[in-house]
Amino acid sequence: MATIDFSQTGVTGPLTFDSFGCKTFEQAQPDTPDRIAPTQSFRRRVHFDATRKMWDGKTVAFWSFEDPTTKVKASFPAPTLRMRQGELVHSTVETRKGTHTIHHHGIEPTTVNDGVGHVSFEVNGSYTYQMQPTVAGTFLYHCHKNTVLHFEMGMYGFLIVDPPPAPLPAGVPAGSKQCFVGGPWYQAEAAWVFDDVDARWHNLDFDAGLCGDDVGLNRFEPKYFLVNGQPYNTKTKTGAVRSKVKRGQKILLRLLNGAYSQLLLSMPNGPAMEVVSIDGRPLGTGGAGLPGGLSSPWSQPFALSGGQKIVLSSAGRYDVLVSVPATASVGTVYKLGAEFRHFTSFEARNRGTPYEGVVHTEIEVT
Amino acid sequence: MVQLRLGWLRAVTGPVFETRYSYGEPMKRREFLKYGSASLLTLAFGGSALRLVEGGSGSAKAAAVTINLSAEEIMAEMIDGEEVFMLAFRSPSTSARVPGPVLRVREGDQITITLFNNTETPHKLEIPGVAGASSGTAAPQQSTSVTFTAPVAGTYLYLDPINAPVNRMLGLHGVMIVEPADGRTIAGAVTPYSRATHTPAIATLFDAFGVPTGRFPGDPWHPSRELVWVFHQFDPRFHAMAERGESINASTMQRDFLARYFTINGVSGFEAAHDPSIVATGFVGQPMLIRNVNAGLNWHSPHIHGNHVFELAGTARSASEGISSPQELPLTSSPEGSVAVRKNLIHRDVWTMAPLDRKDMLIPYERPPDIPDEVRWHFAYPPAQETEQTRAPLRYVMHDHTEVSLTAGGGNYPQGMMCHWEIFPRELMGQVLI
Repeated sequence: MATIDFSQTGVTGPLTFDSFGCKTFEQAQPDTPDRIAPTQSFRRRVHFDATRKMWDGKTVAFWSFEDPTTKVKASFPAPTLRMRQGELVHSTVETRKGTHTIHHHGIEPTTVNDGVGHVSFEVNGSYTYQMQPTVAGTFLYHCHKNTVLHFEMGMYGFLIVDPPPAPLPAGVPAGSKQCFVGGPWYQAEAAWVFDDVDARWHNLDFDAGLCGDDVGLNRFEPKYFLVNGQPYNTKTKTGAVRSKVKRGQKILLRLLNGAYSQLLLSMPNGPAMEVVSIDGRPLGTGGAGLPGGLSSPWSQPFALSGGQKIVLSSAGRYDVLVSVPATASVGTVYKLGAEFRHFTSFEARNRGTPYEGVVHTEIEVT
Repeated sequence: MVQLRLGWLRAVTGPVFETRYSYGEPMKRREFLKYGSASLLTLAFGGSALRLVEGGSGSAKAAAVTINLSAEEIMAEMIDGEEVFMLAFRSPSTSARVPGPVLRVREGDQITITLFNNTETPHKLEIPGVAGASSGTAAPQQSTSVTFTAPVAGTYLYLDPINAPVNRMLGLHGVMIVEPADGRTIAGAVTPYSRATHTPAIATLFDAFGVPTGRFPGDPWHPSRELVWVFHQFDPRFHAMAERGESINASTMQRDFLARYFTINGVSGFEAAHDPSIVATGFVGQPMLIRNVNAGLNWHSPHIHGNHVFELAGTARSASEGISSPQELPLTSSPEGSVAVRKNLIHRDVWTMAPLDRKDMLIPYERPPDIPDEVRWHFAYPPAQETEQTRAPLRYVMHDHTEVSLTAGGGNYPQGMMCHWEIFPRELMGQVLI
């Protein structure tokens, strides 16, 4: 470990055209400045080992992060970072080849803990990011080096902040979880990240384009569409990710756009739905009394109707609380539709072909 | 008191930019524009000039305002050195650049814009969402005029609608800011919006900024605390066609558009990160309004680090394809393209910018909330070597999360749609001029 010399980072080092991408500040084993003993720690090791076989037989490689404290290798998406509001969190990136970072998206620590190389440093070794999440909600984390490529390659995962433990209110079933301080409770949960894949990009080098080469990273032509890293068969409309919930209960959908397409979501018909949180910020007066007083009396949760369409932009999150009627039959499947809309034409990708960017996910009533 | 040098504080020791403007081949009579710090300029007209000082007086009478613009041909240098032919609006007091100058006017003023066409193709001027703001067509070396009443306060886009989207995409667009005749809430807080359009949420938020015992440290929003971010994309193939005098088919452009450059206020990457018209700076507790406009053809997903932002207002649009969200609906049935002040002020770290969208986002300048409490971020001089908590400012990025647009010329991440913003600790107020 080494004490950071800030003049060798983007904090006080010279910012030049080259230091932005081509010759970015790089550190091997820097100490975390102002390090405090953590109450929650994670390790995330870079890997380049995931593959997915697509419905047409083609195999595509992915890079991501794995948790070296478990035996699970080649995770994609990266394993969820799950922490509680108020914990002193240490999240350590461990690289294998080339430089990488972790940006904890929506979490707002100091600049050197934010994971953006050209204003801090990229990591060639390991670095422990330090933060103390203030608000419960849905976030993500991803590599922020040559991000256009590394994010597309799969170097992302969910980051979920739970509120501090609170006593169950009367009538709320045991085992329920709370969305955020003062917020609603849920009995089941689904975290769904939608992704689009241009296989051409997946053969590029880590540093592709950084020093002036035209490697076509302005040209994005996805043919494959995944939810939670699971390829969806756009020809047969099968391969949907499914989550389960008991009738009469509530399932919290944590929806994340991990694609470069704009995501046009079609809400399922049947259950009552309410958006309770967006981008890791509760709607309404939830959170009142928190340190920092992040209450938002100028916002309120809002209902969604069956079939309603909403746009979710890249890296945006919607937390939708779905209430399954007590009268719903066991075996009922609610379908959430998601279209990957082209960022220029706003047409579904590859409309009218077997590679059409239209997928769905399922909630099964048990 | 310790004397602080701003240069040290900012820790920017990059190259000093050379002279911005040189002139290209004289035969073409085109300005050659090397961007760098050729910042987007704002021109204040009529009653609007007063407001910057007074913070929104309700007493000024409507003024008659004349604005002269011309349409020009320029060559502009992109971040990777590529030269691109563009069409650009200019005023007599600014250089021709894309986007055109920001025009600040006051609600209710009678605005006359005269457009002189100094190019070889016809042009006109239109402001979507503003009644009567559509000029006739000016032939080359001719002028056209349009007079209209400045509408309800908000952010507007002026553009050349001919052969849409072609002329707009080639560079003929700019922002018009309309300031309210009276933007104060009932409790007296200054807002950027006309009283008649205030929602309870807007009044609650702007009132809360001025209350030091609540969520915010207590600085009301000040009208000088605003920036304009115009998002745009350039596909040089079409610009080359225009330079050669070839006509461009609008539907071909819509179908084949493949941007190679992605800009904020005409610049990108390293240049955008050092452009004073783009980089927000301030102390903890000083809310900053960012008027976002997407003049281009691509959708964007701007993402800000360090603070979530409030979505205050957007463009009124009728539902299409059944796409609607309650938070997108205006308070009243506003006409298409007008300013819709939000009823539900959502705190986001990503917002959606569809083509022609105008969205007002506000950075609350809260202490970045997830810095550990124990790391009491403050300022000390001289700085300790090993600590970050005594650093100022903290510097964060804002970038499009549709990351394709972080490129320039097919690579060069992050020289695309990306900029910085900075936040200083509150105890430096009065000690540092920023």
